[in-house]
Amino acid sequence: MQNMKFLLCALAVAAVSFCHAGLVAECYGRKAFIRGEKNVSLQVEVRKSSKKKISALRVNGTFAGKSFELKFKKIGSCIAKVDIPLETRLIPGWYPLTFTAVDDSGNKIAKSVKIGIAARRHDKMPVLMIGGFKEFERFREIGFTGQMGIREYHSTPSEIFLFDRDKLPSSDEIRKKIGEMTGDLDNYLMENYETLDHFTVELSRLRHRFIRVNHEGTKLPRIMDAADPEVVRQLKETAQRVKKEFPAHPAVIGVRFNTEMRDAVVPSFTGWEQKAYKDFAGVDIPREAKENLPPHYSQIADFPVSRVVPENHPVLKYYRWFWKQGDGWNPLNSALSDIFRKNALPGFFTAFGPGLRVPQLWGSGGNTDIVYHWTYPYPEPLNIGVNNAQIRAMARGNNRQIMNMTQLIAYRNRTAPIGQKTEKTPQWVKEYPVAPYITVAPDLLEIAVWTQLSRQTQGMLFHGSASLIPYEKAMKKRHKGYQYTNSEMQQRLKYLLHNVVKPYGPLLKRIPERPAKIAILESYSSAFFAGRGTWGSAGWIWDTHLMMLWANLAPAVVYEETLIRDGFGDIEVLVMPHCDVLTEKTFNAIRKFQKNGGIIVADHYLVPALTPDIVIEEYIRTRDPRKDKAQLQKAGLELKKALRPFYTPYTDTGDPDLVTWVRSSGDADYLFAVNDKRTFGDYWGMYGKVMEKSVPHNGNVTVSRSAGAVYDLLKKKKLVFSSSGKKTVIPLKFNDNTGKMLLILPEELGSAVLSIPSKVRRGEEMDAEWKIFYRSGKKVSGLLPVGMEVFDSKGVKTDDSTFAVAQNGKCTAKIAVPLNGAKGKWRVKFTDLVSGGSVEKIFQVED
Amino acid sequence: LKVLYGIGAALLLPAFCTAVGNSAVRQLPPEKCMVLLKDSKTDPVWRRIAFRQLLDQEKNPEKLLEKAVKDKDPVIRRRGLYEMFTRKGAGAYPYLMAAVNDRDHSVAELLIRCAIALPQGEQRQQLLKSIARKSRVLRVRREAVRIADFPFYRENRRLADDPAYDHDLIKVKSVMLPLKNWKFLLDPLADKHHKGVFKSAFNDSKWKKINIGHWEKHGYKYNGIAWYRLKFNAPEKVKHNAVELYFRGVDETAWVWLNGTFIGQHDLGKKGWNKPFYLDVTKEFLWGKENVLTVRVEDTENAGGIWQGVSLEIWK
Repeated sequence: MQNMKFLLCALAVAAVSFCHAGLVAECYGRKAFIRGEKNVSLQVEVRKSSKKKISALRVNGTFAGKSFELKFKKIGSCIAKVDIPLETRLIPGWYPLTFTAVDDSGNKIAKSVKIGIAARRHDKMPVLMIGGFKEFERFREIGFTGQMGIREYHSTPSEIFLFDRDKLPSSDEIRKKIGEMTGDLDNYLMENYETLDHFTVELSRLRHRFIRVNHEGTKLPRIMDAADPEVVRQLKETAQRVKKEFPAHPAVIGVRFNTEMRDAVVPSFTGWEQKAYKDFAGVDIPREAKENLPPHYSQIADFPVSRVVPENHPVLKYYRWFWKQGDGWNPLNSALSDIFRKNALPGFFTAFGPGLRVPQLWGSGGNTDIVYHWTYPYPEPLNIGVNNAQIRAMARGNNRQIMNMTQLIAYRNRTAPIGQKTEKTPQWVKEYPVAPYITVAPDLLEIAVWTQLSRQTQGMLFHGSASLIPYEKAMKKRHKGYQYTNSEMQQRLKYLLHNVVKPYGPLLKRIPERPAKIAILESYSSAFFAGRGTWGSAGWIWDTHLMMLWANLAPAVVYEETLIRDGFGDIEVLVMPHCDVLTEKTFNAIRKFQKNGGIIVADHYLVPALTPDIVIEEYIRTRDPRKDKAQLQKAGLELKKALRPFYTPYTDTGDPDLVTWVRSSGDADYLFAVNDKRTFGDYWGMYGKVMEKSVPHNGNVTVSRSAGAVYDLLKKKKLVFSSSGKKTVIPLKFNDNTGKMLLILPEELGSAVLSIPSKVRRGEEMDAEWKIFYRSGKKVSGLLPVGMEVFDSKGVKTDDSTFAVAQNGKCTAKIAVPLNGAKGKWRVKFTDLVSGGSVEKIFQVED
Repeated sequence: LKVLYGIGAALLLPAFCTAVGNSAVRQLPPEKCMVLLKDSKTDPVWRRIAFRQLLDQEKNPEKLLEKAVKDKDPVIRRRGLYEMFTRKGAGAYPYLMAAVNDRDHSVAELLIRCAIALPQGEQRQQLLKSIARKSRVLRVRREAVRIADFPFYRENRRLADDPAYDHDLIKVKSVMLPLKNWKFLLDPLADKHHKGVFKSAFNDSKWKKINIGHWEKHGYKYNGIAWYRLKFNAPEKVKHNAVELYFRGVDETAWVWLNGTFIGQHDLGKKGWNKPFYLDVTKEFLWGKENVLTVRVEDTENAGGIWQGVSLEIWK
C-alpha cells in the first residue's frame, strides 16, 4: 500500500509539465516496464513555451545510476518528440530518471520521473474478476490476477472512445484520460496485476440510434441493429481509434466484446437484414420469421412426419443464417476481434460471452480467441461442468479457446426468497432483508471451482465483486444490487486460488481432455423447430447432462455441425435428449453411426425415423432440490446400468455423490474427484430451495488402468491404492474439503537432476534444465507440475521464481540476472509439485 | 434347440459385447435377430437392436412391421408405425386407427403427425376425431381437438391497424373490468366448448369464483385449459370509433368470446404469457347493458391464467 501511494505521487508529479527558461517538457505513455522488456523508452514531448520551432535538442541525464546523452537534430517542429531508451535489466522497483533538455537557443528544461521496472511475467492461469473496484489490492490478495475495469466496471481503455453522452469529449479530455489510465496500468504492472478491456455498445450512443424493428414495426430499443453497415463502420472506426491512440500496455491482457446483446434479438425489419438475406439466399425472409425462433414444428404446414428436414428447408436455412450472421453480432464481433488482434502484444486475447445464449450452432461471438459462458453454482454446483462441455462444443467450430465464469452472486428468489417465512431467520436476512443478490454459498462455490479446475480452460472468470468482499458503496443501499452476506465464501476462494490455481495453473491450462466416448447431442434444428436447448442454463438437456455427471459417465457435448464436419471420433454412445427434429445430414450420420455399432440413448421425443437403443424418461423438476437430485442421480445410475454391455466409463465410484473427471497426458492421468454430498445448511437451507452444505463423505474410485503410484497433489504425498490388471481402486476420504486432484502414474517418481551453468554474468540469462525420471530410471511421459525458486546471494527470492510444467519429465527455464543484482552465490531450487521432492544448485553471479 | 439358442444369445451377448466393445453390435445374423426379437424375456435394448437390424436387412419388411406395430415395446411400436406410414401413406390408415388408444407419448405424438399429414378427407377427419376422443395422451388429445374439434379462429384487426383508416385515434375512455369474482372452470379434456360455455345464457352458477392472478395462487396447481366468465355492466354509449378489450397479461394462450361471439385469440404459445394484447369488440359490445365475457385459457407450463387486469378501451 505504501508503495502504491508513493507511485501515485510519482505519477502525479510526472504528469505535471513545468516550464523553465522557455521550454516545456511532458512525459507521456508508459512509465513502467517489465524486467527484460526490449526496445523500450520513455516518451517525452518538448516544446517552446513561445510555440516557436525547435531545430535541435540535446538531452542528457541519468537513469538507475547511469548517465546518458542524446542529440536530436533537424527537428524543425514546435514539438520535439523524444524517446529516451531505458535499460530494463534491473531488479524490479522504482528508479529515478532525471534529464535536462537544451535546445539550439540554449533554452533548458530539467525534469525528474520515476520509472518502474516490474517483475518478469510467467505462464499462469488468469483469474479475472469481471467488475472490480479501484482498490484492486483486495482482489489481488484473494488470488485474482486481474479484473475487468481499472477503477470500476466500465473504466477501461475502450470506454474512453465509446461515448454515451451528447457532447463528445475534446481531444484534450481524451488525452488526459489516456494519461490517467496509462498511469493506472503502470501501477497494475508494478503490482503484478492485469486488466481486461471492455468494448461494448452499452457505452455507445449508436445503440440508441440504430435500433431493431420487429415484424410488426415495433421498435426494440435494447437491441441494436448490428447488421446496419453504418453501425459496423462506426464501431470498427472506434476500435481502430482505441488501437491507435491508446498505447498497447502489457497490463491489458485482452478485450471483451458486447456482452448480453443477443439475448433478445428477433429478426429485424429495418431493411438491412432483408437485403442481406436476399443477397445470401436469393429469396425473401420466410413469413414464419417473426420471433427469435421459428414456430413449433406442429404449427408449420407440411412439416415432414419424419421430423427430418433438408438442409435447405426455407425456415431452417433462414434461422441458421440469422443466428450465425444475419443479426449482425457475430460478424461485428469478428471484425472487432481482427482489429484488436492485429499487431497486439503477445498473449493478448479477444473474448466473448455469454456464448451459450443462442441455439446450438457454431460461431457465437464470431472469431474471438476466447468464448466463455457464466454459470450459477446452484442449485447444483456441478452446473459448471455442463457449461464447460457446452462451451467447448461451441468453441470447436473455429478452434477457439474457452474460459468458464462463475457467478459469486445468488438470486434471492432461487435461494432464499424475500419475505418467505422460516422457522429460524438467519442473521444475514435480518441485516439484508430485501437484498436481491447475495453471496453464493461457500461449499457450492468450492465444488464449482473444483469442477471447473477438473476441465481444461484457459482462464477463470468470476463475477459479483460486491458479494465477494464488503464494499461500502454497495452496502449503503442494502435493498438493491449485490450484497456481501457470507464472509466464508471469500476465504474458500482465497484458499483455492492460492493453493491450487496458482501453483498448478500452468499445468491445469495444458492437460488435455480425454477423447469422449459418450456424448450428448445438442441439436440446433430441435432448438429451432421445437424450442429445445438449454440456452446455457437449464432444462431437460441440462438435467440429462447432470445425471450423467453424477453417474460418472463423463459426457462431452456435440453439435449437429460437429457430427457432420468431424464425424463421431471415439464416440460409442450418443445421448439425444430433446432431439425432436434433425437435419437430413445429421440424421444420416446418426443412422450410419448406429449401423456401425454405435448406441443411441434418447427420450420419446426422438425423431420417429430413429430407434433409440436405450430410452430415458424426461424428468420434470419439482423444485424440491433433494428430490430432484435424488431422482436425477437414480436415472443416471439406471442409464449406466443399461449401458454396461456397451460402454464402460473410465472411472467409476458407484456413488453419485462422488463425481470424477479425468484428464490425461502421456502416462499421467489427472483424476479430479468432487464430493457432491450435500444437505440443507444454516445459510439458505431453511428456505428449502438449495442444499448448500457439504457433508463429509468416503468412497472408492475405480479407474480402468493399471497404476504404480497415486499421488494427492495438494498434500504432495502418495496414496494407498490397489491395482490389478487394468483396474485401479483408490479410496477417497472427504472430511473438510470438497475436491481432490490426484495423479496416477505407472510407477513412482524417482529423483530429479538439475543442470545449470556454474556462473553467469550480471545482466545475462542462463538456462536451468530440470529432469525427472521414474524410480526405475525410465523416462516420464506426460505433463508434470513444477515449481522453480531462485534466491540471490542475499537469500532474497527473485522474480524468476515461478510455477511451470515439465513435459515428458523435462522442464527448461530461463534465469535472468539483473544488471544490478547482487554478486555472489545464487541458489536455484526445483520442486516437483507431485511428491514435493526438490533439488537445488548454486551458481556464481559475477561481472 | 431354438429356445436354447435364444436363451444362450440373450445371456451371452451382453457379456460378449462388454468384452469386445460395440463391434459386436454392428451386425448380428438375421436368425439371431429373429430369436432375440421373439423372446419376450430378452433385454429390451437387445430386442431393439435386433429389430432395427432386421429392418435394415429385410427387403420386404411388411410382416416384420405388422408385428412391430403391436409390439409390447413402444419404441418398436413407434418405429413400426412410422415405417408403415412412410411406406403405405393413406394405406396405413387401419394401423393408425388401431394405435389411437396407445398410451405411449411417442406413439401418440407420431400418430397425430401422421393424421395431419393424411390427405384432407373423411379418413383424416375420422382419425383426428378418434384421437380427440380416445387418445390417452392429453397433449395430443388437445391438439387433435384443436385441429378437428375446435373451430374457433378469427383474425381480429384493430382499427388502428386498418390501413384504410387514416385518422388519428384518441383514447376517450378506459374502463377497468373487475379484478374479483370471475367464474372459473377447469377443462382438462378440452371439450367444454361443446357444451356452449361461451354462450351468454350459459348457466355458470356452479362454477368456482376466482380473482385475477395466476390460478396457482388460487390453489389450482394445474397446466391445461380453463374457462373464465365475467358479467359486467357497460357504460352508457359515448361517441366512439372503436371499442377494444385490452388484456394486460394472459398466461399463455387465450380465446375470447363477448356476448357469445368469438372475438379472437392470443396464440403465441409459451411466449405469449407476458405479452399484452387488444381485441376489437366494436360490433359485439353492448352499450349500457350487461355484457358476458368468456375467456378460454391454455397454460402448458409454470403459472397460468389471466394474471393481469382487463379493460375496455374506447377510441375516437
